[in-house]
Amino acid sequence: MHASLVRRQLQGLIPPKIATPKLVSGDAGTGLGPLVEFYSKLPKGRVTPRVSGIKGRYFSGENASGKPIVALIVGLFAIGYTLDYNMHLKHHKNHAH
Amino acid sequence: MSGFNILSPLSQFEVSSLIGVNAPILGYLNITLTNLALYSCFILLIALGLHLYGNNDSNLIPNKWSISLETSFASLSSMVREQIGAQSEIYLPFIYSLFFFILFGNLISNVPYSFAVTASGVVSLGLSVTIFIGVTILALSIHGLKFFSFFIPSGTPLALVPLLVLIELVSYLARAVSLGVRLFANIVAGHTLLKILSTYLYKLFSGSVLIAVITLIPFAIFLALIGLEIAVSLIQAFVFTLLVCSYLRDAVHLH
Amino acid sequence: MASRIAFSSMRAAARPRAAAALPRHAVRAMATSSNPPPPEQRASELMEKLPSSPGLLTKGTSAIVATGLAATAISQELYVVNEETIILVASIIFVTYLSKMIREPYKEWAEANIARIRKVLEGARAEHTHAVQHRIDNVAQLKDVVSLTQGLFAISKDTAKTEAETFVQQQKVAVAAEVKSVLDSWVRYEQQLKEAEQLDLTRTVIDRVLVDLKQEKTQRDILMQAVAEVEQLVKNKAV
Repeated sequence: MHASLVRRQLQGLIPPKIATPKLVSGDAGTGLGPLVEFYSKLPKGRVTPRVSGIKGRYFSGENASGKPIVALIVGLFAIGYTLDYNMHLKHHKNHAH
Repeated sequence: MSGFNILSPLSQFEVSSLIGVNAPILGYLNITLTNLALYSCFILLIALGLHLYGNNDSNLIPNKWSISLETSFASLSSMVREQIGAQSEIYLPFIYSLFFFILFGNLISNVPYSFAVTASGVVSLGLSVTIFIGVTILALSIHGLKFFSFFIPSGTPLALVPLLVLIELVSYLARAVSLGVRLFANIVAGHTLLKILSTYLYKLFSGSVLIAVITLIPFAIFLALIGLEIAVSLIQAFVFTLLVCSYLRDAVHLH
Repeated sequence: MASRIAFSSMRAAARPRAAAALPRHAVRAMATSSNPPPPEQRASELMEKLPSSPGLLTKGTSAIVATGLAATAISQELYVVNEETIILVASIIFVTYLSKMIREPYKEWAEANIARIRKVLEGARAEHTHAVQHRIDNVAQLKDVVSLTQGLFAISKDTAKTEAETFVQQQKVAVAAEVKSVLDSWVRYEQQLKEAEQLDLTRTVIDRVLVDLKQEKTQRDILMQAVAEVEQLVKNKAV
């Protein structure tokens, strides 16, 4: 008998293919391994924000507020006043010029 | 006039040295920290601090700080894109930092007792002349000798060319000065006005109670002028960067 | 002249306090004129805004301390009241007003934008999760494919074996049928042969008898025998 004849005769014996690697991995042809690895490394659930430092308290996320601006203005005024006081304001005290 | 010592209203723009080293090295090297330098450092620190602290850890979802940064970046980016062209976004970092430098310089000067950095000619004229030179070098490097066609408007009769070239050259050179003068004149004028008015108001307030109560009316106008100063701070920073953008466009595209 | 100078300097020394006190009253008056809540409420609101650290400093004491510090600074001329103070007060008023004006619209605008971006991102995440879940479900349908295929192979192996056995049995049956038919044919042949032999025998016997009958001697013998039988019968008085 010829080989093809044998194959044709055996065709009834080989069960039908119900899944291929391509069917599982999409069209990429690669396995699901890298994909599963990627997703398993992603963090799950909600992040609990760490409130620490100036940034955490006044800038980040929900804590964003205008307080740093006020602090900056007050600080700049204090520095400016101190400089001015030491440069010449204290010499004009009591209007003694 | 006794009792009150009235300094010149322009004395607030005086550059004075805070700490100085006058070392007899390198031919009497003079290293001085002036109030100008100190406030320039403040501008740098504030600009850096805003962008470091307000960046919301580069999260995709902005917070109330970072959304203002993102919005200002977006508007500056669209300005650069409209003015210079979409392919010229390499100038965006320069425009962005220029805008924030001038903006913070202007805004800091609105805090009482602080020094107005942009009100000194050396800063604003230095900036504008530096930008002018840089823009000219940029135009020469992009267009080579063709750059000089910038000074001859198209369709000029040959006889008029020398005259027009002269006029165009003068107007081109005037940019360097006008850019800086516009900024520092605005800031100087505003601060001087406030200083003068506040001197008057102080005198009026320190009079009798009746006069002090009546002075509340000009004081309300003074409040409006404070608001105007803050608005001018913003507008001048914007105008400066807008003009730098248009000069850059001229350099890149030659009309 | 000297007395005038002394007088004016005395007046000037008294002035800073008045000047410092006046604008602050003015601030209160201006702020309250637009919406007049009861003064107690207003005061308690102000008290709420003051900084405090529990245990160390109550809100009331912090107000007293702040006022005291300001008064001390002015009276000791650590804080020099001059025209810059007017700018300071005006700036404070204006910035407070501005921040009050801007705070709510800015908050709304920022939160609307944040909500928009959050919605887009979370929508994208939900969509992606959905896609991944869909994919997982798809793949999950194939999770027992190995055992199923192994079962199929076992079944087909079984089928093959059964088919082989069937074939063997069929061959055996075929051989038996062949043998039976051969044997049957043999039986039929031998029967025919036997029948033919018997036929032949009878024919030979009949032929022989007929031949014998045709012979005179036989006829005579038969006749003689018949005669003898008759004689016998007669003798026996049978007939």
